[in-house]
Amino acid sequence: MIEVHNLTKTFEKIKAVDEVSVTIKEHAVFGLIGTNGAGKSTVLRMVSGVLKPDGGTVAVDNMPVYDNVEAKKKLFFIADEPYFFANSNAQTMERYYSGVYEEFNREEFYKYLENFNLDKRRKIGTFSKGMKKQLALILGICSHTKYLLCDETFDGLDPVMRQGIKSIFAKEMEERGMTPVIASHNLRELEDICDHVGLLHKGGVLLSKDLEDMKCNIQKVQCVFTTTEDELKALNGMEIIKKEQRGSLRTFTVRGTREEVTARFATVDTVFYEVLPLSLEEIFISETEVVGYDIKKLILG
Amino acid sequence: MTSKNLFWASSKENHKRRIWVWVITVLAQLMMYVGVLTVYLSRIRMWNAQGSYRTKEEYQSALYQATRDALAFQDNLLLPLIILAAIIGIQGFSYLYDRRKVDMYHSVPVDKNRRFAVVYVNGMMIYLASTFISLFIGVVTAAVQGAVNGEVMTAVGLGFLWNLLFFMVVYHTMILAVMLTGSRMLTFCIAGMLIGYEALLYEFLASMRYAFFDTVSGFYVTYEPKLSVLYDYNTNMWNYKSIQEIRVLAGELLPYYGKWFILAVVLLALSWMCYRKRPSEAAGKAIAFPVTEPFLKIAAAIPASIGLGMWVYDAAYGNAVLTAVSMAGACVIACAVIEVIYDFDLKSLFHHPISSGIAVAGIIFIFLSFQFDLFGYDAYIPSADKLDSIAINVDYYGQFWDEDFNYVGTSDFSEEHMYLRDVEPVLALADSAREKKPEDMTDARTVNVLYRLKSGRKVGRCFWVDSTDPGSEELLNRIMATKEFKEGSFQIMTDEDSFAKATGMVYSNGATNTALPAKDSPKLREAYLKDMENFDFSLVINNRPCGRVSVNFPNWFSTTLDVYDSFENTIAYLQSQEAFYPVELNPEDIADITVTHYHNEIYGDGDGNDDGIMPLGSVDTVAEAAWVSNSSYDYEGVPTISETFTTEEEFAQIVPHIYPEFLSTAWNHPYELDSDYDIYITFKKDTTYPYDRSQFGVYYRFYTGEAPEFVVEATAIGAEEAQ
Repeated sequence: MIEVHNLTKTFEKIKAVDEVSVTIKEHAVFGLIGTNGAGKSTVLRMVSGVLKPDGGTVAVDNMPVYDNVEAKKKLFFIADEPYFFANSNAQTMERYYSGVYEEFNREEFYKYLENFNLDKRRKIGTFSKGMKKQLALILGICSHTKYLLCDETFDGLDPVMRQGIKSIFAKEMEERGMTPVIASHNLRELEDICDHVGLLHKGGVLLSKDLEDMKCNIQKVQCVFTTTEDELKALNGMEIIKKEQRGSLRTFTVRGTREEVTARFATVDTVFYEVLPLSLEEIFISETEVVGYDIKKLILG
Repeated sequence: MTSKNLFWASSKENHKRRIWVWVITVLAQLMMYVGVLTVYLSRIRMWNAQGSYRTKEEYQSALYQATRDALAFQDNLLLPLIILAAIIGIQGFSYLYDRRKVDMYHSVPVDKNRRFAVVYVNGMMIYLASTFISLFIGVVTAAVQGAVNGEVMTAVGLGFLWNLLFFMVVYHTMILAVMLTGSRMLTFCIAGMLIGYEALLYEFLASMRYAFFDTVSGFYVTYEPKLSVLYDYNTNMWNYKSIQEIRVLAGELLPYYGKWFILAVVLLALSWMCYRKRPSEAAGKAIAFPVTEPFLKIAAAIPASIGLGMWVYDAAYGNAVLTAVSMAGACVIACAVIEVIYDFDLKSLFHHPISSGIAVAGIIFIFLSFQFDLFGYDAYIPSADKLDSIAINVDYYGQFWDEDFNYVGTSDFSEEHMYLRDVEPVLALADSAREKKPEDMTDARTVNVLYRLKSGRKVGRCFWVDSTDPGSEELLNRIMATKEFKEGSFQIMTDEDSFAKATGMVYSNGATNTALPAKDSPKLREAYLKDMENFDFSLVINNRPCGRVSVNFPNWFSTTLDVYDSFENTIAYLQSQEAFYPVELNPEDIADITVTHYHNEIYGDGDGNDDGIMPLGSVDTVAEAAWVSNSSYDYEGVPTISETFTTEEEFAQIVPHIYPEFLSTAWNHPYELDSDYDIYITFKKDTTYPYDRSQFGVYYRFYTGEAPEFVVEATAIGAEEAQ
């Protein structure tokens, strides 16, 4: 488990990370969402031991990470612009990382290279941006570290590739309990990968929740009520997060389990009602609007 | 993997990424050692083929020297060594400049200390391996040509250590500069500061001392940067090339080995500490530790301001206001430029005004402390109870030598050998000279003093005294009559061994040269020492030597001993050798006297002497105006008039008023002999005295104002036409 407690980092006079506390549980994909400048990279760089926090602590499996080789053995950090040695190829990088990470799986590395159609002898300098990210991910996965920290690594990967990576993640998580931590500014890119999401904004954490919890506890209902009384009766006592109206069609986002909501609407007279699934995006919009943020502006662009 | 194996595995990985550094270093070293050796040896062979060497031993010795010059102490190595140290040092740790690289290197599970050690050791390995390869090939090449012996090999070993330690100091300086900065440009700036700051700052402050103070003296106490390896390397290289004896060479090198080693260790420790503390986010920034920014700014701005200010001072003929304004202005500009460099942003010109203000205040304080001598530099005279001893020099430059008969400077000799314990006369002399200007004196003499304080500190000062002032003469007599003064001014006083090794002696009164037996040198010394018992300032200022003994030593070194009329013992010895002749010539021996009158008065500056130095704004005549406007002396059209006198009657009138130029001494007043006239005397074939026949004649001068009337008339302007 990675525990981040009251993490603070200031660059010159700018507070990049302000008392961030999150817990990254094992065997789950953790998504760190935030706009550019929200502090995602800084948090990841502190978690990976690159930066020393000004305040707060980072513990990887209960070990402080900064300047601690044992803690660093448990994680692999893929920076937003991964660095490869000058004039190197995939083979060169494999040799370096297999020297650095004791558990590095060379067979697996070359197998993945083949699967991803990456030539092991081709100079990395001639790779496209996407190919470099693929190579960095393969290196990270094959290092067999417990935690894989990815900073904007999925940006620019095509859907097929993302699907491929997702299945590798699933396999690695299942086989050896790998915990990927993925930072991105784009919520949609993480939707189908993450189990838990932390939302960063202006250096602080807006929320950190399990996606399933969020999905289970929030519902969207479309309905047409027969009378105003029915509407009042149905909604009485419910926590309404969002309400929209188009003609007689009402759309409510309400808190509660699907069963609870269905039961409530069944007790009143309606022309029509339906409980719909919410996208991650909709959940975030709803959750953050509650605390006064316009999430569309923050992460959807 | 064990940590040892891990180290070498990391080292191997690191080397793979430094291949271009390997290639450059090996090529450079091969060129510097093997290339230069080949050139040197082929040159010696060519010169030998041309018959430049008289003996086989001479040729062999030249070959050995060539190998030493190329492989041990080579004067071309300085710059390449600095460049290599910079390349190896900066390239090794350059990943710290790049955020992407820092992200990778600092996130992988590699111990920070080990990474530092790997990069550092690999840098040293690159240098050492390339040097060994080059030296090995060089030695083999030299051996094949018979240019190596045991001494050469030892010298090569000593030179290797010398260059290695120099490289290490520069290499560590470069690493420290990388640790302190976040970009290459700033690394070079900081490295330059670290290497040259001490020498530069002291140089600028010294220029201020010379400009603003009157008593500054570089005679005894000269500045030598204490921590500048560049200075050490540069100033000693020629010395080490010439020292043949290995033990002497090793003895000279040892203190530098120690000093450089300590310096290298300190720099490495500092580099490591900075590496440990350096934040990863420093990559790409100007300065790695923001806390150092104001200090570095002030430290850089002050010497820059002094440098510019002193340039203005010279250009503005010592205008204090302009100097102060330019120093303050330069400081503001320097601070602004540094701020721009720090932030890579023009808008940052006036950031951090407090530190800029401190820098400006500092430079103004420095200027005021010099302009108004706030610390009493010129007024400084130590109290007698704080003084251990004094060395003093009054316008005297003798010949001094070491045990190998190599030249030793006057100041070095007296600093080492003169320890005046009776300090009161010197202090009284210094006190009497306070605020006196040489231009107000009849015969100003420069007095350089070295105060050796009981605390161990040495202070050098210089002042002027008027030799015609009876008070000063009395004090100078008290000083110069002491045994300590004589021992620190005349090597003959103590160096019995050298005189026993004299290879020849010649006495001359200006016109005659008589050889004396070399074996008599102890005898002559004994007589001379007796006469020196009566030596004092009055003797040398009021008398002119009547002759001079030149003593030759091995190693083509020679010295001279002035003989005065009062030196009865020396004269008695000379007379016993039939070598003594009076300084006044016998008119009967003279064939002719040619007097050349230069008429310097035409170029006179109207200040009463004929030095031709004209105060600005005092141009009175056309000739003077021409001189001033041309600013260089034009001899064309100078009315130089020569006249040859041939009668014994004329000779008799001239001879009492002339003095041989050869016997002039610095003690005597420069204006006692008239430089407006040259007197050239030729002698008859048969003469009463054995005149020097190696040349046609000898040169004399008139005592000032004593040229006989008929000579003045015969050489006056227009005299030729009148004849």
